[in-house]
Amino acid sequence: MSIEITPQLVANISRLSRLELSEEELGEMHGHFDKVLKFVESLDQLDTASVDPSVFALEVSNVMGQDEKRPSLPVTDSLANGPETGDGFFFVPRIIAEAGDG
Amino acid sequence: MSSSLPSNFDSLAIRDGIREGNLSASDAVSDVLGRIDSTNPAIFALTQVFRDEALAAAARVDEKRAAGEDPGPLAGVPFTVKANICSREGISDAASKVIPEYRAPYQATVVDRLKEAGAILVGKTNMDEFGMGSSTENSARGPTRNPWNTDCVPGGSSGGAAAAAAAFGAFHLGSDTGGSIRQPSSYCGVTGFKPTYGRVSRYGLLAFASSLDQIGPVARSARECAMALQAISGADPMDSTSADVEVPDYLAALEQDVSGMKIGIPEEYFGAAIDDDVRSHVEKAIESFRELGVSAEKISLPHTEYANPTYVIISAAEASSNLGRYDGVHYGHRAADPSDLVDMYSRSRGEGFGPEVKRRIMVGTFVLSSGYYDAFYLKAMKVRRLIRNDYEEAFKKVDAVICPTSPVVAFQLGARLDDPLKLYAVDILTVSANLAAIPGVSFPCGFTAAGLPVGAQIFGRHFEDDRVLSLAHAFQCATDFHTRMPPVLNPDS
Repeated sequence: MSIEITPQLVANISRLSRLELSEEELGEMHGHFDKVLKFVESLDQLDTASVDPSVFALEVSNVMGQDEKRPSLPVTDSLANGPETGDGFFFVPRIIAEAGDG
Repeated sequence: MSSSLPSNFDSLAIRDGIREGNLSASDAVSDVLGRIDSTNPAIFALTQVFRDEALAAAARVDEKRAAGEDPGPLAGVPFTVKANICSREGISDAASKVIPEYRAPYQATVVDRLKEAGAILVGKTNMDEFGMGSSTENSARGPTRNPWNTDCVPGGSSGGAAAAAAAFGAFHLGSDTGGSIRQPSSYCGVTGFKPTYGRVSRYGLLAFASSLDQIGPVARSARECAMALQAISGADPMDSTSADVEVPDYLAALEQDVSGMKIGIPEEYFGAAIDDDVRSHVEKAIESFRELGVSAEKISLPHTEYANPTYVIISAAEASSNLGRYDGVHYGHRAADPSDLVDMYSRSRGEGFGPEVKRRIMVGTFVLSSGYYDAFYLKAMKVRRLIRNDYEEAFKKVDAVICPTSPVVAFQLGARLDDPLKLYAVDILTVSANLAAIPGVSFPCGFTAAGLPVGAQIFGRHFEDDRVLSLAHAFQCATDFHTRMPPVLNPDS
């Protein structure tokens, strides 16, 4: 598969990754993508039309457990590493606009 | 210091000394702490040392023994874990600035099991951030250095564990996603074992690539690895990918007769990319196996050249998903004054992650994104099947496969930092074991003229971890490479 890496493509992947990169980092990433595509292009030589993909290398089926109550992590422990917490919650910037904000 | 301390820092000798009453747990732990104090500044294998906690735990073992109670099968034996394995003690930062102060509210199953067995956690080891690297230079805490030559890298990503085994003895838990236990073990002249996928619970391991990650031991000898594996193996309700397969007596199984076993020599693993020095030492190791009655024959693993590209795609894809959780909400670094939620996510992650982790997240997001998924991710999963089939075919003819662990020996710090692809190339001989989920051990089989260790690697069938270790053990009974001490222990040399 022939793919042209463009600055727009790299910027879009950065947005999808939720990863803010500086202009310099975006430029380096562009070069890295070129190299990685070259590194993996040998896979194109293989005909895999009739091959089943292997998600896990061991064939395991669903693992069922008893539906029993078990102690969970205390809320205070769960919150202890949060950068901003209080009243049993993780605080984040506002995600829903106030009424009338349009 | 007690005169009963084993001079070779062997974990089994420590275990037996404590069991037989010739050595106290307090002396054993004090001894390893002393060695860490004198040598760690030169190599930075450990990023944290739990001195007070370890001495207190050792005192409890000694009290139990004095009271006639059973302190457990590994009572008083010191160990460390890699910085991506959660412990009650200290921080579990995976050597990343994105979670620089993360104190896990729960403990990894492997740490629980070792502590229940009486073993004593003395510290945490350095690593490449989130396991992404092959030199331990991608650590937010700074690089680890190789005890055999401190101008050289220890390998990675479990470089701290391998350097610690070489410099301090004891045993150390690392994690192996594409060779991260075996390759540094090779560079540091110690024995490192990646168990069959599912043999050991991953609960409490900060995930990199969940279908490839596996925790395993690093120590001087295969015997110590077998001892540690015994304690950490087995199904775990907290990890549904851990396998409900019987755990044999690994130490007893080490003594199985290897004569009559067949090992395969895959021609693709001895090609032009392998340094002559490495190739000749591994070929000598194969001769040693023949002298032990093991038959060795050439085999082919025809999809070998595709393993590293397949690994690069699958591991990045899984990493991009697993590392989505580091978003500045539940733990770790949060960017200042975010304008909205997406700005907070993007800047927190952009500021927190190191360059190599960013590359892997970006590549992973790309290969999973609409329009590219089939060409890259799906394709790689299909090739993974072909690689696995290669091994299934090989294991119809032979019991195990032998090859070098790394195409090169330890290289100078900085030598491969300018181009990430140069660093990926050293994984070429280790990644297929992760893709095929098979067990693999690296053990020292010689030294270059410059005094750097060379490692050989043995793979086996799924859940024949015992056979893989027994071959390494048989080799170590006939040779002394694993007993040699690095010059960092003797500043005058």
